[in-house]
Amino acid sequence: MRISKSLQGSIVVEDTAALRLQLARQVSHWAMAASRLGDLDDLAAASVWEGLEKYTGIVLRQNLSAAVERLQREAATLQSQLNGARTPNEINQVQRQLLEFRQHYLRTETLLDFYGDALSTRTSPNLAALLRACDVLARRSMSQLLDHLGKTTPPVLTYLDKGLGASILKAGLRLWDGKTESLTAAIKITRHNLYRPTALIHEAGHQVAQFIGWSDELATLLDRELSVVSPQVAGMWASWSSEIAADTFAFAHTGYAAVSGLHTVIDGGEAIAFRYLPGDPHPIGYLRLLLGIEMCRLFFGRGPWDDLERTWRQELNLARARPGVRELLQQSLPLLPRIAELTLVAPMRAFRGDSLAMLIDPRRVSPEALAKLEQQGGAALYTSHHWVWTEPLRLLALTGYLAATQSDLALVVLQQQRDWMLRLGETLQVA
Amino acid sequence: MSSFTEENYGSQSLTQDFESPFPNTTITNFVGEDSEVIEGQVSYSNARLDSPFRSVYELKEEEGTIDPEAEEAMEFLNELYDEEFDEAVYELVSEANELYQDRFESEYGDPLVQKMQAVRMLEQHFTPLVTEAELFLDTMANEFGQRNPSSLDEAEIESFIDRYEPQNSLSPSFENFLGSFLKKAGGFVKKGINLAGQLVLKPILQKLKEVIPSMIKKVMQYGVNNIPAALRPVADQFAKRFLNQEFEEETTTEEDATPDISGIQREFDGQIANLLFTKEAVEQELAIAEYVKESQQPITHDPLSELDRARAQFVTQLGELREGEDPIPLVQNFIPAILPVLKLGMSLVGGRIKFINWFAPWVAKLIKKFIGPEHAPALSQAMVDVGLRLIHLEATPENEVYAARSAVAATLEDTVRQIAALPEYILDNQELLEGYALEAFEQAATVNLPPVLPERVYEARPELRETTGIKGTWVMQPLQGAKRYKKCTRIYETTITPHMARVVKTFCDVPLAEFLQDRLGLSPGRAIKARVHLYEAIPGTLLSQICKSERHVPGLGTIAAWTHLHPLTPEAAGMVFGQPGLGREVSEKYLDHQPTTAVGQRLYYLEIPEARPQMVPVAGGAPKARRTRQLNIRFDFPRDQIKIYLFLSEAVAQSIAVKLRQKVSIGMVMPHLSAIYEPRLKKILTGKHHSHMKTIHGKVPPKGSRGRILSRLPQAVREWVIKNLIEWLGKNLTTYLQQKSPDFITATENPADGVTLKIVFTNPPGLAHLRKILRGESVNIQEIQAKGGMPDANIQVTPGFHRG
Repeated sequence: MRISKSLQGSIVVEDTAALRLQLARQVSHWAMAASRLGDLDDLAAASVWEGLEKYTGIVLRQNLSAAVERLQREAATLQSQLNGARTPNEINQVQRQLLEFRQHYLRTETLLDFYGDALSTRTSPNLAALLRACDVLARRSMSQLLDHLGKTTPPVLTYLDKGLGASILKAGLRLWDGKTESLTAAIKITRHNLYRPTALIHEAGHQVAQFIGWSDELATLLDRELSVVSPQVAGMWASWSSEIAADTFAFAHTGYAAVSGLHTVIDGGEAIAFRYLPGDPHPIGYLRLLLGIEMCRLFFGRGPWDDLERTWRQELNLARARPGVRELLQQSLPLLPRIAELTLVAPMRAFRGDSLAMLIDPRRVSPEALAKLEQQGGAALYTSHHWVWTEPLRLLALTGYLAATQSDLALVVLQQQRDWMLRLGETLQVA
Repeated sequence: MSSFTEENYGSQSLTQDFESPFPNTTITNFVGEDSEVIEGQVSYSNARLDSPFRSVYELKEEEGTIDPEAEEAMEFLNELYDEEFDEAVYELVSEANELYQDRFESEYGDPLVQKMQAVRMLEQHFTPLVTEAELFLDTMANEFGQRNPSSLDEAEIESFIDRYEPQNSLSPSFENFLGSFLKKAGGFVKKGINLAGQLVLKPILQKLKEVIPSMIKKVMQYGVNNIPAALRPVADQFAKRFLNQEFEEETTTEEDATPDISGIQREFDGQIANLLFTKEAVEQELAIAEYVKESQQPITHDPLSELDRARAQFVTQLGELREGEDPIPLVQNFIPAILPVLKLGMSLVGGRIKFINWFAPWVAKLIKKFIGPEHAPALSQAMVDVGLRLIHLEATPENEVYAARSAVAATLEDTVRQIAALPEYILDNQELLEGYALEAFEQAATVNLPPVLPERVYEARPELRETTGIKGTWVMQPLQGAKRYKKCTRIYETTITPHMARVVKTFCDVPLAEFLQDRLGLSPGRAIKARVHLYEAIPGTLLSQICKSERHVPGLGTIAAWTHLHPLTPEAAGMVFGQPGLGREVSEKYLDHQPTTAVGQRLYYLEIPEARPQMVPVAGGAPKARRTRQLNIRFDFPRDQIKIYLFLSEAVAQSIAVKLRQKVSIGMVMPHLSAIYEPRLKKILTGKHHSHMKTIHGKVPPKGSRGRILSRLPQAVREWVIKNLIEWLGKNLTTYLQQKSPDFITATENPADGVTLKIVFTNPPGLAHLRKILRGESVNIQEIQAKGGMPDANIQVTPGFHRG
């Protein structure tokens, strides 16, 4: 069909107007959607927000509000660009920006949903108090180190989830929208470990290690020190440095409780214990537990960990490990005492020339030190707000130690653990 | 009374130049030759108590004979008084004030109308509380009302109150108040069943119900119209009627900035006592009717709003001045609004007009250098230079100009306040007065105006600047609208070392270290980085109001945060951030626990990122903040007992329990304990801190029962009491902890916050003599001093906080 020139012009104009109309509708739609995200009380019920410690709540709200405000500013810009767009090119430009905005919106929504879901695990006052206690434990473990180094410790938001192992979304990372920096360390604690939360300290160790550059330095150290035995073995251990740092951090704070807690998680049979996945930052489970036991031995001498080692070795037959892996395991076993030394007592630049053990002395959680703590605090250790606030990490070490060594009292100890964690959570002023 | 009568402002003048760095003025005498000299009243305390050499002591000659019933009534009133009730009332007053300010207060419209509207709304707000209190009395009446009082005992009543659950859920502040009310009602019923002739409870409980709404209404009125205590006399009619005497007001040059909320309790207690002790039904009804009527009086007196309005007008008019225009009329209009909020300013009433006529031109010359089109911009810039934008990030240029003019207004107000507080002999002598007035202006300018004088002046007169190094000034807050307090433009960054925290004391002489540990969860052995925010009270300032208004300061922003403010004494200012000049000396009573501040008193707040306020859960209620140490003393004359309640904070109690578990020498425990109770005992028994003392004595009216009566005892007697109590406490606590350490340890294992050691001395030597002194009988002081021996002591330890 032939269209006259003037008619062509009018069709172009009509098309542009139609496109503009559609765009305007969509821009309004998404701008309204972005505006709705601004009400953080829609993200989680007021009672859920009230389950947070006050300061953590303020920081989290600021963090999320900043993400939403960024999106809303973008929506406002888009709207004004649309208002100013006259030519087809300008309209097309707005259309492209709308597509980008949609992506930004969806990423911001993912960000909000993550925190909304995390917050919503604080379903009851008791669970909220327990998770606040977890926040305190993780944050305290970090601040004991970071305060020495003159660094600020971020707030922690712990949430509950299914599964075996814990995980962390570190503070300081860019979140899903690619622009907002996380101001809190969000740590997932699994349900089975809620009353034995040494895994929290492991995750807090990840935060600290990343923050001060400990993992990289440890990797270099392990690579250098172990390469005399085998460059391959050295490289393998170096590649595990981030997880080793986190394990070491948990051990320094909670001693044998961290090792027995790790055992519970990785004791899934030979298939799991001997599994080696190149690129996986986790050490082979078999070695990982034995390294923890070496740490106990290095600082505490002989103890119940000797029995754990014996049963671990009896239960898991190295001969059944995959060829190639078996050799790596065999080459690594004699290195474990040295690796324990390197992680705990070697001076590091990350610690300003000190070793980890100089800043967080594992002897504070030796069985003798814990017995002394028990003697000093008596029953008040678990009931006094003063004790649970000032010594929560050693209490975690103590109850973890008791649960690991007195299986007949395990239920009583777990109940005790629950009670003092509740008390710790209740000590804090809520949002 | 001052001799500022109309005649004082005579026409004869004396010209004299004063050297001041501020613009020179010629000071004109206004006191005439025919000044009327009014004979100063010789105060009773001056006349009778100041001689420590008197061997025979008489408190006061009493008229008439001893009336056992009147004494019983006074004893009951003294016993009924409860500091916790005051705390609960303060919470309600703060809440009412918050609601009023948030929803009603506006610079537009008539403040009196706004306040009346607010009271109507508050009546609805407080209805659930009134209903609950009434329901409780109904339930109690049903429980006990039909029974013969002789069949009831106190334990049964206490058990009933302990078990009682409110019918509806209440807010934390209502819950707290209801708890205190229940306790008071319990005291009422217990007395009712013990009174001679035993009363029938049901009708008097019904009558008590009638006065509850009135009491709550008084709370509302305090909340919306928080005029200073001196302007709101408390009607202690019951005490007056029964004792036929009034307790003299304290004489001090300082003024309370906030209402004395204890008056609400004293009046309510008076109503309770009226129901128990007034025999004639008509008389009883009349007293109730009077109380109810008084509570229903509309608010007609609102000097603070008047001052706000006059200040705003003055500030606006300053901005309208043309170059060279005289500000005298502006000052003349402003001063009359300042005087009514001054307790001491009231004495100027007689010569008010003459005073204003003299003061306005005099002060106008002094402020000319800061106002008008040619000078005002420099002052605004100076305000910015000293950090106005640090505390007001959002401040606009208009705000800065307004703040500068407000600073001139504040300078005037402070100058007038200081002049009004001058003693009579200065007010009577124009030469002295003019010198003191200039000094008052200089001091006011030092505080309220940024440093505007040449550096050489400050070198010669360092007292004209409060700080060294960083410059700052005090700004009335909020920038717009009615002013509530002042804030220093500088926020000091500091590191509080453990040693500093141990030495610096907060309210009630509690070491800052204990506050940081028990209230904020900070480790006592580590240095703490903090930002220090500084505040100053003006007439009408409520501490809770400061905290509510400071929304942008982390940790503040709520009325409940007022317990996080600390007194900014010169020592604290020097130790905490190295600027002693920013501290203010105030009377000891303002360093006590009660939330009453003096006009001009300074306070500080520590913003500490690591602080985590420590809470303790309360069964079925809102969590409460953990407590710091506290010592409470009860002189219970009817029972011949001295009771001491020593509350140890959770951290202190646990540290003592650790030592006891380790079975260390008692010599390692007692110094820790005595360091807590000895200084407090001395402070309380010298009558300086009133909130921690209760004297139950038939001749001591309620106003005096809280410590103040002790300041009337001869020093020798007070010292004897202090010395002996410290000795008795030391010896008995030593024995107790040696023999009963398991009791102490068990108490610390309870989840309650801290422990209370209750020490009861029965028939202590000298108590009988004290009773006589308070009764006004002659006593030979040497006889008291010769008294020796150790009284019977009973010590109990209980988990949690108790003060008897």
